[in-house]
This record gives sequence, structure tokens and C-alpha cells, in this order.
Amino acid sequence: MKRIVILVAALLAVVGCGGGGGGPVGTASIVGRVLDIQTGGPPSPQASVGVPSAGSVLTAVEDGSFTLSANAGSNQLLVTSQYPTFSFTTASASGTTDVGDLWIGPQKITLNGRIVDSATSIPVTGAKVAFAGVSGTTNGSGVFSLAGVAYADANQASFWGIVGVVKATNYFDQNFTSSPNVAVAGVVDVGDIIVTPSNNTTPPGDPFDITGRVLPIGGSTGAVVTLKLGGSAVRTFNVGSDGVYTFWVPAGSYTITYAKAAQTAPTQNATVVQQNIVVHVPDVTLQ
Amino acid sequence: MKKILWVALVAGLAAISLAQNSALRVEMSGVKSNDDLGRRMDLAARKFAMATARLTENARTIRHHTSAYGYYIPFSMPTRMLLTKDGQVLPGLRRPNGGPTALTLAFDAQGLPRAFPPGYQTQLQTAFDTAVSTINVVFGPPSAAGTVFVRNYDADIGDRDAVAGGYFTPNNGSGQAEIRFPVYQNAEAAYVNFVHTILLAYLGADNYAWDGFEEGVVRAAVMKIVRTPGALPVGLDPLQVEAVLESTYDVGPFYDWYNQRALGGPVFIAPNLRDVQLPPGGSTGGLYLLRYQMAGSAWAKMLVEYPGFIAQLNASLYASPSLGSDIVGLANQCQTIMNTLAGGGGATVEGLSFSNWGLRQFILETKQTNGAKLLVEPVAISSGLSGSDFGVFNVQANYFQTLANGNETLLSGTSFPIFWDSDFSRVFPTAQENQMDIAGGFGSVTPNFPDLFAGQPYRMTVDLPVLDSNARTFLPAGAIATATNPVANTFFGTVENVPLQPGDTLNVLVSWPASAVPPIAVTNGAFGTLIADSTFDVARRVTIQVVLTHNAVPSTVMTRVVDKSPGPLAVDLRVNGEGTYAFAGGLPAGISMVGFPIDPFESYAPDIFNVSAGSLLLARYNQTRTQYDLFPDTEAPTIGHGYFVRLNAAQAGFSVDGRVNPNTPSSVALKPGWNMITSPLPEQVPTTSIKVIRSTAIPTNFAISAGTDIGLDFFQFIPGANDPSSGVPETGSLIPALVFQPGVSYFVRALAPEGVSMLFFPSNPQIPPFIAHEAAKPRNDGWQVRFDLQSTDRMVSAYIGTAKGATNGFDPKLDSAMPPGIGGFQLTVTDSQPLFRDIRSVTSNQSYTLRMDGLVRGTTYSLMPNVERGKINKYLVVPDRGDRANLAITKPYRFTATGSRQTVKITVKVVD
Repeated sequence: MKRIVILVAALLAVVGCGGGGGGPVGTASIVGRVLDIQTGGPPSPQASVGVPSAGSVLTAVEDGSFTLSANAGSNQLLVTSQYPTFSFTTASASGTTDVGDLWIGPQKITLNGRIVDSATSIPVTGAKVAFAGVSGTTNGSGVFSLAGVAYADANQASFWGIVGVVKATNYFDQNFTSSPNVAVAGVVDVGDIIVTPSNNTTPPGDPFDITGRVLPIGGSTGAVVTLKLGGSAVRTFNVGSDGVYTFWVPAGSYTITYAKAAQTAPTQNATVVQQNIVVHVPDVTLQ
Repeated sequence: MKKILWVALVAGLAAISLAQNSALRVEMSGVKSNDDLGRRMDLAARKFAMATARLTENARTIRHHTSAYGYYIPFSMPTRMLLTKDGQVLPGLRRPNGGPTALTLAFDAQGLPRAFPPGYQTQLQTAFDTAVSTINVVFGPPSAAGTVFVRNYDADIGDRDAVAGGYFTPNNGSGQAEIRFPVYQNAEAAYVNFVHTILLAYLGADNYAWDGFEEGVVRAAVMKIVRTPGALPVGLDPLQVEAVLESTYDVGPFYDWYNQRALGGPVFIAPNLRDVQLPPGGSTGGLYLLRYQMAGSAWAKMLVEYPGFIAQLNASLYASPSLGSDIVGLANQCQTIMNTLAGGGGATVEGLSFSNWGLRQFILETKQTNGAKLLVEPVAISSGLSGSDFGVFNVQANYFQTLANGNETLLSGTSFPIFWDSDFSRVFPTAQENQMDIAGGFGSVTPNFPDLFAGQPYRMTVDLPVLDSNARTFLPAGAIATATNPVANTFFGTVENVPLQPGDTLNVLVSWPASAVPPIAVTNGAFGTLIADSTFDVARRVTIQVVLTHNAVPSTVMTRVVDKSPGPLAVDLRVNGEGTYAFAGGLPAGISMVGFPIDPFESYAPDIFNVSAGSLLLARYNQTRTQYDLFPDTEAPTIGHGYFVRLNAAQAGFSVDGRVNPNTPSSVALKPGWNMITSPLPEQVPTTSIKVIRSTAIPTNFAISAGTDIGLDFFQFIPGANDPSSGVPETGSLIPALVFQPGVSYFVRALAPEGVSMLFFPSNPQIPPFIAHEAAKPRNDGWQVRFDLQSTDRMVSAYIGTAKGATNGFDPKLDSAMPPGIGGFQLTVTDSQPLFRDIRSVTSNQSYTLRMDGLVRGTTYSLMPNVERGKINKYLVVPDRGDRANLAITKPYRFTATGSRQTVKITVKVVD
């Protein structure tokens, strides 16, 4: 029966070539490597890698690598071994397609996490996350959930050694690992993964450990903010159109005064406990 | 029982203050019984043993792969446990009021739960009896007199892979000093570790506050004692003893290779890693084993020249226990002891005073520094070579971050190792060595450096960049053992910083009293030889000279004294590799941007800047966080890196002592986005002398990489006008730069998503004739105008223009983003994102919005156009305040500021 199915598939592929219709045509070569999560090495005994409804090959003894011929456009791989069968969704095969490392193991877990913008702390939607051969995309909350990731309760060393990657438009690629998290009820939560904008060239401003805003935004442009220590002025800041002011000072208890022509705002206090801990002063409004 | 316990607690001497070192601590508050206390103590010891075993597992596995010794050496990390009551350490044995001190061992009687098997008890007692006289000579007499109980801890060891190695407690809660010790199958391991715990008992309740001292002094003494023939019990194999030392005590020949800044700090294993037990099966990399070994090896150097040093130091500690936590007092005392033992003032170790020597041993750094840290740990593979094996090394990376609270986070990332041959051409050994994945703080590759010079050794420079950290090491390829010369050399290394003219030769001389080693030829920066003289095999002081012969005239360009451990010796000889860098003009008062062309000996920023920790304002931009890291979160000031610093008063003569790389190309790693960097060379470097390296690509010239892998422009900071309150500049301007001046920091933007490395070439490199890099070809399409915004004393610039192939969006090859600004006086093109250079499509006829920041109300400014490309006769200025102006391109637009920020829209008229 299997031989018949393969023959029919081959005939369909030939027909497809001649007719030029619909789906992908031709064959592709899929290359990759299967690794055992328990050992970090090639599966022993060898694993079988195949495309659903098509052929399969055994992984190489020495390094777990494989080369598989498949219809162009194939994007599903099944790996059968001493462990449960693992299914991987890959890039559509075309020419020679390297699917990277596919990890298998005695258990499957779900890998959860969230992708967050480093500049804004806002979750990143639509980021592509790949780990251990399994890939997925973040939802509107920046959350991803990769099901069917190989795992072994008995040994996390290889699992922690896998380097996942996050790719998102307008961000630099970001690698991550699961270390030192372990599975709880079949789930490994890697928490927030911070990604760095690649197109955000907005200067963050100067180093500061005291910051605040003078309202109304726009209306406070030109306001003078004075930082005082023990009653003596130690810094002056001219507020711009964004209303923001900043100071970079050593630890101490400061007072802040605000003035623009005849307008003033209530004096504020700011205590810098240590110079790496930023004090956010409440907004003030000129009156 | 309970009554005895509490009586013991309140009796005796006053409580001892807590130290900072890694001694385990168990708080007695809430203890219900002696059994309960015992369980807590054993649990603490087990957790420590498990953590250290797993934290060092990778390192040990790799060592074992390269060692002649096998896996049978049990991992052990003897330690000390202090019981505390309400935070105060319980007192130990009493000091006698005059008279000699001595310890007596007592074992539980057979039949009691903590008794050892009779034969093992005899073995331990014999070990002590045999070694005690040597112990007293090397380590000095014990701090107190009395009985130390030695009890069987073996039944409490849950994990056989994590033998605690025994621990000593000066007061077990019942007023007894006690050693809890396992039952080893390996007699030599039992011997070494028992001597170790005995030394801890000798220290008693006294201690050195930092692991670099406490662990180092004890380990060095252990090595010295167990290597003394008369201290070795009959029947034990000295080679097996050596195997135990190699496993956890001694770095052997490789001290030079591992002496790196990441080792330093008050404790060797951060509190979070020591207390949190890793899950079964988990292991991780790290430099924890290396730290212990380096500490032992550092103080072992001292014992080479001053065998009685540790005994004297301990005597000083016992006489004045507060000395143990007084680093200045300790350093002074160390020099005093050296002088005493040398019989006169000005004594040296490895040719240096103690303070200068200590500064150069990173493992002895007692102050905590924070930020990301990277250590490269090469291991030479010198056995089992075959085929084309020429220079096989396991190159490991240890990558972690120290937080302000002292905890360490093991970091992950990817490094694309860069292997440079002696001509600084990039070598690609094999594809799998081109990338190193780092996970859980650890990654490694094992390249075989090929035979490039017909069998001659050569120096391989290894750069390991990870984000903006770079660790460099120099390795002697083909100088240790090769497949065709499998007998490993015993003296090998590299030489740097010596420019050679055609016909010049370089030799290394090594000597010690009565030695006769012929000159060793240095080829391509490396050398190796087999010294067939048994007097070289022992721990000893040797003098190494580098001799340059030019026009048949030899001259010694370097002399160095090294205290070597037993066996081979590897050295990294950096000629003129140390110096003092005086920053041109010093450091100004107020805010400034400073870069380090020198690798400071000091690690602690307040010591470098001569400002107290509480007052130091130091910042480095961290693109990963898109924020500045502020001191104390900042890293230790690093060569090639730049920082903002704000000082109350100018330091006119600001200078830094450290390591320099004259004449050797040096690398700086950049993470994606903005980086604050400087030239790592103590000289000005133009961009034509810089190569940019991206991942596994062939290095390219700066001009070619600009706009693709690295930003088109880079910027330096000019302090602005004085703040009316502070009287010094608190803001400034970023202006484009053309060259990298030493001591000056620049904002450089890496565009490649994996980051890049920049290789700076010196003007007088040690490599063959330097080939000038090609310059960028000027464009001749479109137009470009530079606008200079000028006040009476300052000027900033921005560019606008058009070019073929440009879009109205951001074109990395043409446009240039503003770096993370410090505020102050600045000119920016702001139609889309803040740009320093905005080049658009040639077909566009748009206005460009120029934003002017940092203006002072009432001050008159001029905005002067400078045509750099194309033909332009007029430009139209539409300000946000005031009247528009249609001006000839040769005329400036003048205005008086009405606020700190104003904008103008500029449209130019191009002549067809």
C-alpha cells in the first residue's frame, strides 16, 4: 500500500509539472540535523525523518544529520525514534532547504514567553520565535507558545543549551535560552525576552537620575527648573517642548523649583538614594 | 543536651564580626536541638557541594579530557562553616595567653554514629602526624590551642558526585571546633582534602575577608605542604597527589592565559549561585573552578620566593584579627613580611613590590565591579594528536553579569570568534569554529589552527566578541605539540608588540641559577621548546628576556621575572605592554565623554577616577536596554570603551596605569545600535586604519562597511556652556568626527544585527608592511549641504541633500542617525526620525526641518550653509517663529533665540 501511495504521489507531481497549475512543483532537498535532548548528541538508535505521505531517511549515526528529497513546498517533517513522534513545521522546501536542528526527546513541553520592546516595554506583536526546531509567532500581547518542544525531566543540560532566536520587523534578532527554567506541569516559561529596536534612532537624552515633567506640554517650553541642595541651586534645566526635565546628581535630598516668567509650580522633593536609581518626580503644572 | 548547647553559646569570647568571604553561615535562631542544628549544617554543606559541583562540571570535564589524569579524582571543595547567633559568629577555640599553640585531633569512639572505619581514622591521624611539622612551617602555628573533633560526614552526603570535601566549623554549637569529613576511596584525595580542612582549623575563627586571600592562601599552602616529600604519608603516590592538585588547586602552566579581569571580586561564587540548588541533571559552565585555582596559584608564586610568607601573614592575622578585613593594612603587611624575609627593604615578588604585583593579579581584586563580564579560557590539547593537528585548543567563553547586589546572572549569546594569524589576516579553521553559542554562561569551540608557516610556530590572536564585550587571548599555534612533533614542549608562549624590520630576529631567553638553556627562536610571534633540565620542572623563579637583534646588534626589549609552578610554563610576553596613559588636558569639570585606550590595572571606577563611590557620576549607553547604565551598575572601565563622566572639579593631570597594546592591532566589539567606544590604541587612528568584521565575513575597510554594517558617521561630545547653577557644563553637543583620538569617546552605530568588531591598526604595526586601506569614492550626483549652527563659542552641524538611489526614508548607506544625545546644543534634521545626515531622492523637492536645541534665549546664532556637492544658489528659511528669509547660499541665516528649542524649514534652490 505504501508503495502505491508513493507512486500516486510521484504521478501527481509529474502531472503537476506538466500542467503548470496550482501548487508547488518539482523536488527540493531538505537538510538538517536531529538531536537527542537527553544527550545533546545524535539519536541512538537512529531516528527516521520523513515528509508526511512521502519517503523518509535515517539520521546519520555520527552527527544526526539527514538529507531528504521532498516535493517543493513541503513544510512538515515527522521524526520517529525511540521517543514519541515529533512533528516540525518548517520553511517551505525549495531547492536545498536547511531546517537546522530538530530536537527530540522522551517528553514534550510547551515553551511560553513574551517578547518586549527594550525601549518602551511594550509587547511586540508578530515576532517569530524559533526554539529546538519548533517555531511560532507572538500574539497581540507579545506572547508566544511553542507546543511540542522536546524535553527530558532527567537532564536539562541540553535543553538549557539550545539557543532560540526571535526575529521581528524593525528589531535586531535576539537569541535566548531557557536556562535556568524547568518544566512545571508540562510548561517551561522563559518570561520576557527583550528585543532591541533597529530603526529607533531617537536619542534617549542625557544620563539622569532625577526626571519629571512640567505641564502643560508645550505651554511649559522655556520654563526654568532649578535643583537645590540645602537651599543652594546646583543645577538648572531649560524645559523644551516635551515638558521633560532631567538632572544627573549624586545621592542626596534635593528640592526642585519651577518658574516661567510669572508662573510657578509647587516645589517638589527628590531624594536620590543611590545614583543608579532614577527618581521620577510627579508632574507639576505651571500656574 | 539543649542546655549544653546554649551554655556553650553564651560562654567564651565575644562574638566575632561577620566577614565577606564565602564561608558558609548557619543561623542558630530557631534551632530546636543539636540534631536540628546538625541537619541544618549538613544541608548547607550539601547545597554548597552540589552547587559547586555543578557550577564546575563543564570545566572539570574539559580539563579531564586534556589531562593525563582520569575521572577517578573526586571533586571536592573543602570549606568552612560559621554558626551565627543573631548575625554574630560564635567564637572558636581560645587563644592561650602566651605559650605555644597546637591542635589535637579527636575522633569519636568506634560504635558512635560519627565514627570513621578504624583504618580510615588511622589514615587521617597518620596524615596529620606526618604533615604537621610541614604545616607549622608553611602555614604557621594554629591560631589557637585545643582539640579539634574529626567526625564522619559520609552518611550525610546524598550525591556521590558532589563530595563536599569536608568542612571545618570553629564552633559546632556545642563549643567544639569540628571537622566533618567524608570517607574517600582515593587515599591521595583524602590526604589533600584533609590537610586543607586542617589548615582551615588552623585559621580557626580568624579569617581573611575575601576569597582571593582566604581561599588562595589556604590552597597555596596545601599545594606547598602536600608536595613536600617529608609531609607525604608512606604509601601515597606523589603523582596521584599531583592529579588532585591539578583537578581543583592549581592552574599549572597557564596562569598568564587566565589572568583576566572577570576573575576578580570579593567572593568566588555569587550568593545566588551558591544558595540556589540547580535541578538534577542541570549543569552549567563558569569560571568558578578557575577562580579557586587561580587564587591558589597566585599565592603559590609568593611561596616560590618567600616560603615562609603565609606563616608570617597568618601570624599577623592572629595577632590582629581585624587585619583580615583591612585591605590597605593587609597590603602593607604583605610588603613588610616580604622585606623581613628578604632581609631588607624594597623586596619584590616577580620583580614587583607587593602593591604593584597585587594590582596585576586580577584574582586578588577584592572590590566588586558590575556589568557584563567575559573571560576566555583556552585549554591546549597536547595529547592524542593526529593527521593535520597543528595547534589544537579548546577555547571556552565564560559570560555573565554581576549585579549591584553581588549576584551573578549567567548570560547567553552568540560569538563569532575571530582568529587572526601573526599578520592579522583572519583565519577560518573549520566552519564549526566560526560560531560559538553561549548558553548558561558557557560556550566553547575547539579549533585546530592550521600549519601556515611550513611547520613554524606562529601566534594566533583570538578575539571573542559577544555583544559589546571582547575577550582576547594570544595562543602559540604549533609551539606546544603537533601531530608530527607529539612530545609536548615544556616552555612556550607568544610575544607581542615588537615591530620587526626585514632581517630582524627575535629570541627568548629563560634562565635561573645554574641554568643553560640556549636562546629560543621566536617565529611569527610564537615559540616553544622542550627544556631537558629537571631543575626547570620544579616550582621556581625564572627570568625571561626577549631579545631583538637588528643589524646584528642584540638588545633586550623585555625582562620579566616569573614564579612558575611545577611542570611546564606558558607565558604571554607583551613587550612595552604596560604604561601610564595621561589624558590630554586631563578631565574637565562638569560633563565630558572619556574613552580608555588603556586597560586599567584597577577595576573599581571610583579608584580610577579618584572620586568617592557615593559621588561618582559615570554612565555608559546600553543599547540593549536603550538606556544608560549608571554607576554602580556600569562595568569596570574597559579598554576601547567610552563613558560619560561628570566631575565637580577638573582633574588636570588625570592619568591611568594599565596595559597597553602599542604596535599591535586591537579590537573593539560593538553590539547592534549605538555604542560608546574609543580607540584601544594609545594613538590617533584614522578610519583608513580600521577594519570592520561582521560575524563570519572577511574583514572589510571602514569606508566600505560604513552605511552597511556600521553607521556612516560617528560622533564625539563637546561640553556646552556652564550651567548657571553649578558653574560647569551639564550638557553638550554631539558633533561628527573624522578620526579616533585616544582618550576621547565616540558614539558609533553598528547596523549589523549581530553586531560588529572594529580592528584598529597602529601606525607602526608589528606586522609586515601595512597596506593602506582604500578610501571611499566621492559621489558626484545630487547635492549635499552642511549647515553649521554657530554661537560665539560653539558650533554643531547637520547635513541635508539628495543622491541617486536614495529614498525619502532612512538609507543606511546615505543617511546617518543622531546618536543618543546628551542634550545641550544640537542641530538635527527631524522630518522623520532625528537625523544628522538626511539624504533623499534626487527627484524630491522637499523642505528639511532643522531642529536647534540648547539655545539660550536672547543669544544671536547663525545658521551657515556649506555646499559640499551640487550647484545651489539660494535657500529658503521658514522659521517656527519670526519671518521667512530667502537667502543666497553664501549668506548665513541669523536669528536671536526666543527659547531653548527652535525649528526652521529649509528648502534649497538647485541650479540646473
